[in-house]
Amino acid sequence: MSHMHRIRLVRLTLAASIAVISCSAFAQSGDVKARNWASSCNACHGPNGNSEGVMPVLAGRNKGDLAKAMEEFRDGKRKATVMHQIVKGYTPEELAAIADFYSRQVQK
Amino acid sequence: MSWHRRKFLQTLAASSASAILPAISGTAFAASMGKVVVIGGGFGGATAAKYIRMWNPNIEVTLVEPNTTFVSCPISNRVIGGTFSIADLTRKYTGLAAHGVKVVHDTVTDIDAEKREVRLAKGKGKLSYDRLIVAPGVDFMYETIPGLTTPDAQKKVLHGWKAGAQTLELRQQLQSMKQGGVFAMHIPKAPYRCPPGPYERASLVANYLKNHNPQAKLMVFDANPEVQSKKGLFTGVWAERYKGILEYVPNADLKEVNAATKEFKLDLQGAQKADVLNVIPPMRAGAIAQKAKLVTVNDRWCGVDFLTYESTVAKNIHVIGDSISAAPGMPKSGHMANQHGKVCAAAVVALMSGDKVNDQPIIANTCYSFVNEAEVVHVASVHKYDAAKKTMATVTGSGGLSPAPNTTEAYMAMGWAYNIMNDMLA
Repeated sequence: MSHMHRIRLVRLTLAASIAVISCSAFAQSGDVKARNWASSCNACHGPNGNSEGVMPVLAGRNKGDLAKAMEEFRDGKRKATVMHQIVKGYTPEELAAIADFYSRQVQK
Repeated sequence: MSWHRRKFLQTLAASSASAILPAISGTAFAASMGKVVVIGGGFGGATAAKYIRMWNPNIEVTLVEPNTTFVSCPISNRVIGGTFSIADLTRKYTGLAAHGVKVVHDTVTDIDAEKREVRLAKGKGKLSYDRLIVAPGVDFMYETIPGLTTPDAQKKVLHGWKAGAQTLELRQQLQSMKQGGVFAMHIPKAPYRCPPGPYERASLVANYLKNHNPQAKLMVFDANPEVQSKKGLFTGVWAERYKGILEYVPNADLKEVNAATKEFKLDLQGAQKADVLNVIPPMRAGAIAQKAKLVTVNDRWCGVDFLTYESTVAKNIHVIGDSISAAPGMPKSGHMANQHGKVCAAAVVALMSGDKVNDQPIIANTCYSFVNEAEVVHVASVHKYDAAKKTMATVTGSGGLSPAPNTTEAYMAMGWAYNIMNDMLA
């Protein structure tokens, strides 16, 4: 193995290690509460927001878009059958945490 | 790059690799963090089993469920009304294996809270647990209905309130009823499983009669003083579409059933003869919850701590789903059981990992009812923990009803059914 290759390998290992560390650090630190809150929504929107029905897929969506949609449901600016009634049970901070959680889920 | 920098990077990489290796092996090979046994693979139990494994794969989870397939009660009134197939409401438990849930098709006959183990009927074996989740659904209180205490009478007068064989048999009874016959239902006093369910059934039976047996009559005898859920929506539909077919009779206490002559004896209304009798009996927590002395409320329901769903009388034993004594506004529904399952799963994972239990659970209920083959009405609510009262409270201003029956929500209802079954079993 040449020196250059070895250096590249070290860099890759390091990058991968940091990725693993930051991933697990996040899972531990934080957002267990958001994860728990969002899990409630999975009942209608499918496992981690992967819907197979007419309800929209939430997994992997832009969190700003999700939060905006919730605001519009709440303010009656977006047409809804039930979401305008559901969002009124949550604070803007709770909705933002849920939107952030779904934005980080893998769309299947 | 200087030699020093290279050396530094190598050292750093080696040290982070050594720091990470235990973490990786911790996930893949670590000794179990403990054992959870879940009794009952319905909306509550299956959801709890799956979510514990999703949220902490180091906890061993065994689900004990006698049936080899899950059949959804929600939507099953459409099968009775003849507009849906029961096959589409039936799922296998095999999807849970992918999450590492061990499924044992057996019945728990005893819980030994001291030794922390459960005894199985078929296998005669025992399963030990660190935490137990009891989700047996409801049992019928047949002993409260004279004339309906024998298995023979119960085979003739069906409940159709646990989806499966009885759903299809009740469908058959409706289809074979003579032209111009009478179909009579009885609804027990609340609380019972699925508050709007009997009224959805009445609507779908009436819809069937309207199309296939227009001279026939549906008598709906309700032990309650009024329709228990979506009242205006159901009574509106009945007046508008099923006038002359469906007759709703409130305050109808059932005193006796004669399965042979197909007769109800009602407290105020007297004897009522019919061609098909459908009795939804009063209910209480499933047998194993009673046997394990987890029942604390009115001899029927299990009291729980709403942060963990741990029993108020038994340590390390959690109860979820229809068996619990719910807080006001929390219906006994599949959707609610699914929500209990997740709050309970999160609490069990936290407790077994030595973490803090979430003190701000939020759960929601969305319930769709069909009023004919194509139109649906919903009721929805959001519930948060009230720390002062130590209970769940409906969030003021949240939730509500459909403005009117509509076809858009029929698609929502079916989407809900597929997604919630995926949520619990896929």
